[in-house]
Amino acid sequence: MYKSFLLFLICFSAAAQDQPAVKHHEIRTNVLGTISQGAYNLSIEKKTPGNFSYGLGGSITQSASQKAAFETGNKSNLPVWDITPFVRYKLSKSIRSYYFAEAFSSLNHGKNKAILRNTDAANTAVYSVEKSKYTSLALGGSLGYKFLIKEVFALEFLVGFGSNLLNTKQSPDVVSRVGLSIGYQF
Amino acid sequence: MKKIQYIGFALLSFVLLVACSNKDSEFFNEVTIQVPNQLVIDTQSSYTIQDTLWLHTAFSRYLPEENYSNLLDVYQSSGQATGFQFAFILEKKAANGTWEFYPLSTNLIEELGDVQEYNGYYTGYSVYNQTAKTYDFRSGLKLTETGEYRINFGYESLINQAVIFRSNSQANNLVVNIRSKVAALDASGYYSFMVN
Repeated sequence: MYKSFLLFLICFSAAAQDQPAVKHHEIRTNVLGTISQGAYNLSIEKKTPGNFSYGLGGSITQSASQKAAFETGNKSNLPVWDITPFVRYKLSKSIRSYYFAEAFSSLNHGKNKAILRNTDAANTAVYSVEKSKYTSLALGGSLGYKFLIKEVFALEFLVGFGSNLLNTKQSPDVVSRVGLSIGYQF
Repeated sequence: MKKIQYIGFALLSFVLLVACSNKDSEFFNEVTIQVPNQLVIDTQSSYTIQDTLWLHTAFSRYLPEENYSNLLDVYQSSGQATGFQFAFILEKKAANGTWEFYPLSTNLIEELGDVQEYNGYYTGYSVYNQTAKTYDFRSGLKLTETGEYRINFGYESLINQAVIFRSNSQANNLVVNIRSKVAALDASGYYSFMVN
């Protein structure tokens, strides 16, 4: 394992010394999101001639453990799907490895549960746990770092948060955008 | 390079600002209401050996709740809980002046509901009475030794001079907590008494 990691670092260092040809499209998936949240996702990004790029991502969450934590555990929200358009600005000059800043919006849909106090016909109140669905729109920002391997494969770290603006009673306040993605450039 | 730092700082600030306000993710399957005087200590002006100190509850399943005009049905809210549990501690002052847990063992009288002695505390259990629609408990502490005693109901007692009743809700039903001020407790959260 240690040798493999060293080999990876050597390959990466060697590869980082030359500037590869710019490829204008990238397709990628967030491996961290899939493993940790059960979120199956795909993003496509297009680079402009300048420092900007833009793209669209989407994910569907299918996780038995997340579902169980929502249904019977202490999780109040269950994300179901999201569509995330984004714009990025490259902060470094290198083509092979660079930092970037991102602004994104996220149309997100999920389930929520809350304790509600309802009054029956006899004017007696009863507390109960009630589940509902929400769809909201978030705006947010992220910071990331990307580097290329063998000119076509991209590895990307991303950390960001957005704030939901619609259906704020049901939807989560914060939409996180954290990822470790593997991509292919063409 | 400076531009990168400024943009990075601005974005990081935004991220931290947004992340600081989050009502999300954690869900606690319980509610807490406040209703005073639902547990009564039958106090006496003085106690002698063989006297019994009685604790009792008989609270309705329909309880008033702060800020609401209608009554709350705690029986339905708790998924038809068959009882509410609470804890208490009886201590006796030792010869060296320290307070020590006082085990009653056979001198703990169970009349209504259930009472248990554990290592360092007691639990009481108010059971649901289908006919009266109340949660009933009555237990006696038979006092067989002279000395200085005190009772408290744990953390809530010491902070709020109250007892917490917790519903024994089954499966995934909501747990209802009733925080109830106990009239007999002093400002420190104890009911202190002397047995002569």
